[in-house]
Amino acid sequence: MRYMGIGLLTLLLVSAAWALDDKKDKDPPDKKPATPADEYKALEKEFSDKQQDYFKAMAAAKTDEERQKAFKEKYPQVPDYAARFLKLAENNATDPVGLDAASWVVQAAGQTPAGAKAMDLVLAHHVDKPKVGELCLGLIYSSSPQAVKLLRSVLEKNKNHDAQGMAAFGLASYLKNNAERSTGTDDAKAKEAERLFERVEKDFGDVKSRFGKNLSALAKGELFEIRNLVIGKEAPDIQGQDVEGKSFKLSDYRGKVVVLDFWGNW
Amino acid sequence: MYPHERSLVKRLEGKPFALLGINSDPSRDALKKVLEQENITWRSWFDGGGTSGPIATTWNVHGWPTIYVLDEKGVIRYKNVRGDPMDKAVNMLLTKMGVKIENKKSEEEPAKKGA
Repeated sequence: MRYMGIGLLTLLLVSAAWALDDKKDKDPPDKKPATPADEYKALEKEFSDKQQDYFKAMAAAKTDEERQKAFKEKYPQVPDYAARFLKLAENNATDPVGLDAASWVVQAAGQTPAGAKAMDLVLAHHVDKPKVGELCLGLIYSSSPQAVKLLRSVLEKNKNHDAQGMAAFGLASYLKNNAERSTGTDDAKAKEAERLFERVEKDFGDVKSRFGKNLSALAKGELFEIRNLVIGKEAPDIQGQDVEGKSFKLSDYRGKVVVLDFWGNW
Repeated sequence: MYPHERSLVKRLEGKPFALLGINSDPSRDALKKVLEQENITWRSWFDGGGTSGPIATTWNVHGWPTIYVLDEKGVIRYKNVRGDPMDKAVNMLLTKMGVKIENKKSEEEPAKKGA
């Protein structure tokens, strides 16, 4: 059984490679897109088409074997695309397309060497661009030291109000998330995060974010968590209804060790 | 998730311990179905049918699952511990209260698909 599996796998890989070669040969060399912006759009479309193809194949697959096959054949290889987007960013370093392409790499492959190179490009050429704010919001869950350098640099050098706000919120969130990592809380990081969230609430509350709320609402939530939902503080009471509509409270369970589990399926 | 939680609840039956959920499923019916299908016996608040319900919003929850472990006074003692670390955290807090914990490893059911 096992050997058969490996045989099949090899076959799949080889045929996938053939399919790729085939495609390469058929692409006429004069079909190159005209401008860097076109090139970016084409590459983005190629990736999203491939992704759609993969999702369709996965949805159609009925057995584990078929799913494996779909994965092997259709899964868009992010590192390959990251390399291509990075090249586009490098070739157009100072162009707005350079920022778009570098942002793609940072979002899709932020923790890889390609992601690091892309962040360097943004640091060198785009920290003062209004559009860099969106990327700042995308760095919230990063743990790369370059991300924090980039966020600080945008906050310091960018003159656009929205971009500044997003950089401040991004930096605050990055610090909060990284303060909580490892074994305990890094107090210096946590303190700076709190100060930055306060600044966001005060100076950048009006900035809209792609998370559907403005920065004021987001910063308020973060500040509540930093101040009240930390280890050593009494948890705020919870009041609500169970599945049958019966009311109950967290404080009904005093005297017991409680695990609170935020969960759901959607 | 569910198999581990089921075994934790079963292991600590009769002890001063409760697992409480805050559920963000889209509807009460959806929640009801999961509770039956997955044999979930512990209580959950139904948080209004979405991920931006009042409880999740107050608790600033942006990722699921999010876990808090509270001691018997309602003080937050651990955050986001799962699996073994969750068992250890709960054991530690119960032991501090003077509750005797049988020294048997929680028997984990084999992980179910999709759980």
